[in-house]
Amino acid sequence: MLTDLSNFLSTLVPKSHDLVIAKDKSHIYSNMKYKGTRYFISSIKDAVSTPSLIRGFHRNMTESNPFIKWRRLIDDVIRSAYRLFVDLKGLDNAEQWQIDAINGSQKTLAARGPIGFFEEGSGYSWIVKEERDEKQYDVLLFRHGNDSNDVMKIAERDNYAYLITEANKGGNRKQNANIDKMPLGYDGMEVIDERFRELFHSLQYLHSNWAHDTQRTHHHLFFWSNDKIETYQSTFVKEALQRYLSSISNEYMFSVQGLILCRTDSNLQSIVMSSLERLSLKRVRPGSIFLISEGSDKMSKKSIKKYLSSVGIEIDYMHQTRSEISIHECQIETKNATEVAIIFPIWDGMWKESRDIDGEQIIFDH
Amino acid sequence: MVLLFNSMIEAKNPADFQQLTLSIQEQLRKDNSLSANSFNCFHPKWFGISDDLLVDDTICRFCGYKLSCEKFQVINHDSVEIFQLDDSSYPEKSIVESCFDGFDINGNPERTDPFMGFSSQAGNARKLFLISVANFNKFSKNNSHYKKIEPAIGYDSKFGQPIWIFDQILLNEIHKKNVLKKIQKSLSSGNFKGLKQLLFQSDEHRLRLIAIELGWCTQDSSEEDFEALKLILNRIAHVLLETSTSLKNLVIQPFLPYIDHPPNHGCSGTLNLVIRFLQFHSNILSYYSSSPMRLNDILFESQDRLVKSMISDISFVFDSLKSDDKIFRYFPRFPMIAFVPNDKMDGLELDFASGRIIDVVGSKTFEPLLLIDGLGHNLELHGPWSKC
Repeated sequence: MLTDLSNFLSTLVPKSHDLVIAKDKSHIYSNMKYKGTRYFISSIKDAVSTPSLIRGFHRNMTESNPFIKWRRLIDDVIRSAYRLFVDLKGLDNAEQWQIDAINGSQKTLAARGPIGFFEEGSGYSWIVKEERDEKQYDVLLFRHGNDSNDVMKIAERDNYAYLITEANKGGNRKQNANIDKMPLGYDGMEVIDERFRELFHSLQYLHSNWAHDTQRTHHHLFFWSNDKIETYQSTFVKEALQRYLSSISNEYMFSVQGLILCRTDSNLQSIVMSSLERLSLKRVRPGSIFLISEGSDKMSKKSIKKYLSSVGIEIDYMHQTRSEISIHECQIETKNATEVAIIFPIWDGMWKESRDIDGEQIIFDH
Repeated sequence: MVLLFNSMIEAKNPADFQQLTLSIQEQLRKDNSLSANSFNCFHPKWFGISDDLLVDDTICRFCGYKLSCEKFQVINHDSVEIFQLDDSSYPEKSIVESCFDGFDINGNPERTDPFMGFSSQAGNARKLFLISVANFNKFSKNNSHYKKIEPAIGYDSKFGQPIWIFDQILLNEIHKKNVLKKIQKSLSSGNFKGLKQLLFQSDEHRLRLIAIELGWCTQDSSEEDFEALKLILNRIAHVLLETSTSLKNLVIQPFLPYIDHPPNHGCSGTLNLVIRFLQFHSNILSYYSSSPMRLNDILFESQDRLVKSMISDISFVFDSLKSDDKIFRYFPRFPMIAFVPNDKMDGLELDFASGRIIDVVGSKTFEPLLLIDGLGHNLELHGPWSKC
């Protein structure tokens, strides 16, 4: 069954991405390469080990070469900013900032990856839009304090002027067609003060490395179905997987999700989840997506809920706030049984969305 | 001793080597009596002895054959000692050992501390603790309204309250520089005229849900009661935000529900601040209700009725969340590995108020057991489980 799912998934992701069917936990561990985009597909029962699994993976990854590279690039930014702040804020304040920034950036890198450095509010540097004199500017901000409001303008770009200049370069007027396309990255940015140049260059180098680093993600998908994949409508499985892929599209380092496919066929009622599989479902986080394809059995939502419960899927547990229920729209045939897909995030013990926690946070200092 | 050791290293034939090794053993026995942790040598035949040969770690470290001995591999590495906190049965040795099977960065098998990444002590020799789930749970009751507590980071054992990262920042702020006293003073002064509405329009519906969930109101509560609740919370919000700029910052920072604080139906940062504050310090409402300025206040009776339903005995009294060793009130959520018989999987919870299960291992034990990393705390001596 995992192979069939993998075959479906392989049609939806770029060929350069690896798909690994991990039959058990140790198989996942032993396949942890730290390059490229890789999808691990495992049975739902292994989701019970997710915190241990992801932390083990993450620990090894942060010791690997790509992370050493990011740490070096971020350290360069912090050093440049420190030199600037000695000038602007005095030695004591600059040193305090440097200590906080090193600690903070390490947490960010560990929990969010390099993208965390550029996230608005919680990161260290980001671009905002600003309108002045009927012109639109992109302004590069740098956080110089603990608060997200403690920011200073480092550089800016007059977007329209930049696009005109770019379009006219080399006298090639045809490029005017691209005039509506907004510039990306730090291209065309000018420092606001000459003293900011070193910091700007180190930021530009970090950002450019990040922007061109396309191979960087590992995804874990834990799967369960009460029937063979081939019995489901192919469009239904594809939509479920597309929704899964779309839910993880913004993840940088790793994602952990579950997928359940279930046919409400009375002949399948004896196929239920094992106790370990049911236990694994206790790792479900809020934010499940339900996809339903109606069958000729015309099951009501209440009946679907009852059926899922008989299989071992407690829908009340999964259907919490921020859940979404959709009807499969590309149905090409009416099947006897209703088909249900549930895509759900799994707690991985990493707090990667949090701005304040570097993974395992404990109250006491040791 | 040094002479014997050098002679052994330079021995010209196996017989001399064997004899010198035995001599070193005898010398060590003479110099230092065997430690309490003595054991039978795994390979007495290597010394030409057919009987038991009692040795200890020190003798093994000086043994000429140590590099070929599997026991020395264990002695030579940091080891963990598993201490039982109750009289539950011990899981199978092979099952416990399997928890330490891991892989290095190249995917090769290696011994790994299963708490690596969860505990700053991981990788070092230390004590781990074993206890039955039932006994652990006796001192890990979750009395809060929130049952999905995976991201919670700590636990107040006195009131059975899981603590999230937002709470920790909030409580640390409130308990410093007399902030709490200032809040009490502002509430007592009761100067609430002309305050603008800090809660959003969209908070109104959410506030109803939260108030019913927390038992402050019921489905049947009157509109007047909900209006009174809104009034009280808005006033407290003003007091909190005017008392401390750090609290003001807490409201605008991007904290996430479920991760940084318990989900409060997606309410605004201001409402979340007031709700979490009152859940930890509801007793402060007595300063509000006793204020003489409120005698002619609007919705007086409804407010009074509400305040009574909102006050609980929960109160944080320490200057910070650091636990007093004698009281051992605030716990981190200890990382734990569960050993669970197959027929007991169904009843197991993966998250306890004072601990989180990071992995589950099937075993043949009579009841589910937990292997705990004490995060530097000796749970054998401190904490409620020491008395099990």
